[in-house]
Amino acid sequence: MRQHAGAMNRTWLVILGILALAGGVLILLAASGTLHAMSPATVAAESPVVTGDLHTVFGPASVTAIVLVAGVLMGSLGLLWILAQIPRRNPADRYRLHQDPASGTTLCDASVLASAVENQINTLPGVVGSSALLRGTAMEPDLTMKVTVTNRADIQHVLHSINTRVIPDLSTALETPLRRTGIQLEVSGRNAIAGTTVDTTGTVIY
Amino acid sequence: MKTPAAPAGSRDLDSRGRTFLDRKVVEKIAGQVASEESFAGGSSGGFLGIGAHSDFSARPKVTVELAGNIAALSVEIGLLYPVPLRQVTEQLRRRISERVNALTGVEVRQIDITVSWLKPADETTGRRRLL
Amino acid sequence: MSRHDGKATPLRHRPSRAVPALILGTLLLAAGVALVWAAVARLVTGSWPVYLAGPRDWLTGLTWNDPGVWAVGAAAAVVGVVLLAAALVPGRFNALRLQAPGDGGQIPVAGAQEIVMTRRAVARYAAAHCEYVDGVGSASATASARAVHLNVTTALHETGELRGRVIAVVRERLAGTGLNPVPKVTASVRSKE
Repeated sequence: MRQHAGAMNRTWLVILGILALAGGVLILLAASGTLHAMSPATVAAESPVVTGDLHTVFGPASVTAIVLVAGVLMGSLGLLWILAQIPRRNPADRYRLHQDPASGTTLCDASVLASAVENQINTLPGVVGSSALLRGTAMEPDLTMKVTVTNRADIQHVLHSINTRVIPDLSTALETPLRRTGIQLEVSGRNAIAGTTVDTTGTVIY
Repeated sequence: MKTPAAPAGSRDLDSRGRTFLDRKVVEKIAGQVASEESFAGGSSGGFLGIGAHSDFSARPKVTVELAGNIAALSVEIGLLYPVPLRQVTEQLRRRISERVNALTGVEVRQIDITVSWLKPADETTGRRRLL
Repeated sequence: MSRHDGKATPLRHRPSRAVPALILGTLLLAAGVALVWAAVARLVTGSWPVYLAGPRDWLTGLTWNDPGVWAVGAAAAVVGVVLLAAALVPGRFNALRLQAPGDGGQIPVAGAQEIVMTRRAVARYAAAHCEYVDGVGSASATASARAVHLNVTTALHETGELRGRVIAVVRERLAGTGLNPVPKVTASVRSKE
């Protein structure tokens, strides 16, 4: 249900990995003297790493500014990367259902629709809990559901009920077919309770 | 905010006194019209919005902004699930506008509808009992 | 960097490499803070902070064939390889795919549909059904993307026959849930004394 920064992590890990590997190999080549043997213009293995005087290099005020900017940049990139690791639900905020805003708007929170879907799923036999999430727009809704069932539930039956009742009902309400639906099944750790849950409609005794 | 009701009859009405229509009147009428639809409801009970529960027999919450003889309404409503939301709210908009206009003479230009809950008709849904 | 496009992403996905990302993010942040600290100290006091003196002296006395340089180069290369491995080794899927009931009969209003069961859910389901088999004392299960392994304890002394029965039952149940492909079921039965 929640979304992770998988693609971004991979991209940055590859970039940083290549940079570190290339840097490391370059340093090793220079240290072993291979680099100097390949091209005499580069440093020799016996030459010092720092040629100039560090005091003159770091003297000017502009260097301070560069260090400051580089620090801010690195720090904020690191912070953004850390924050991106928080899993996100990314729900749609509200669906706009009006045709002509001049005569009035019709707004429906996506969470309102989601809780209607949850209520409906919760009544299915074998289901102990659910959470639904709507993304996309009112014209192209994406529905993602997490359905927790008991460990003895008839999963195919639950899926069948969702596909024949829950999803068509949401589609009726929004008057459009859903663009994507996703169902994530979880199994409750508890054993199925001994009783069966039913909708009570009153008892008539003759 | 007070507003003169729709002028009716001849020009010398001033001599017979004036009728003022409170904003609340329009609000109540609009709420009542909305709740008369079988698919719409409001919230009842609770205190300061806490503990209120959705109820098909309650009147939806309506707030009215009156500008002279023209009203802009915003309605917070609960609807039956599943109903086609666009059609039903359009129907509701037409109906409120017609009835408010017929009963008070106020012209309703704009009705903003916010759907605050969706519930199936039978009350037991979502709350199960263990037999 | 944030994802506020409100688009659905696949429910069945590979690991998101959050741990290496968090470590690198923290290192970047720390380095950034250190640089800003140094620059601010320079602006306030007019000289670079004292803690930079150590690295500076070390750097100025360094030649390229120094063992320290060798170590730094080797460490950087190793870190690079580790990062590339973290990014490129695909990792295991978090969930198994399920077939919708009424195979192929797609629900017209449901759009593109993805039904998954998490690995943990499959393991719990398998273990629960295993415990309904006669002769099984207790059962636990682990699931990967393609296989389910059951750990069964039993009071029976003869475990071979029970093993076959448990595997048959669980495989049949998993096929009944619509898992596609049906994971391979293996079991190890332990006789408890």
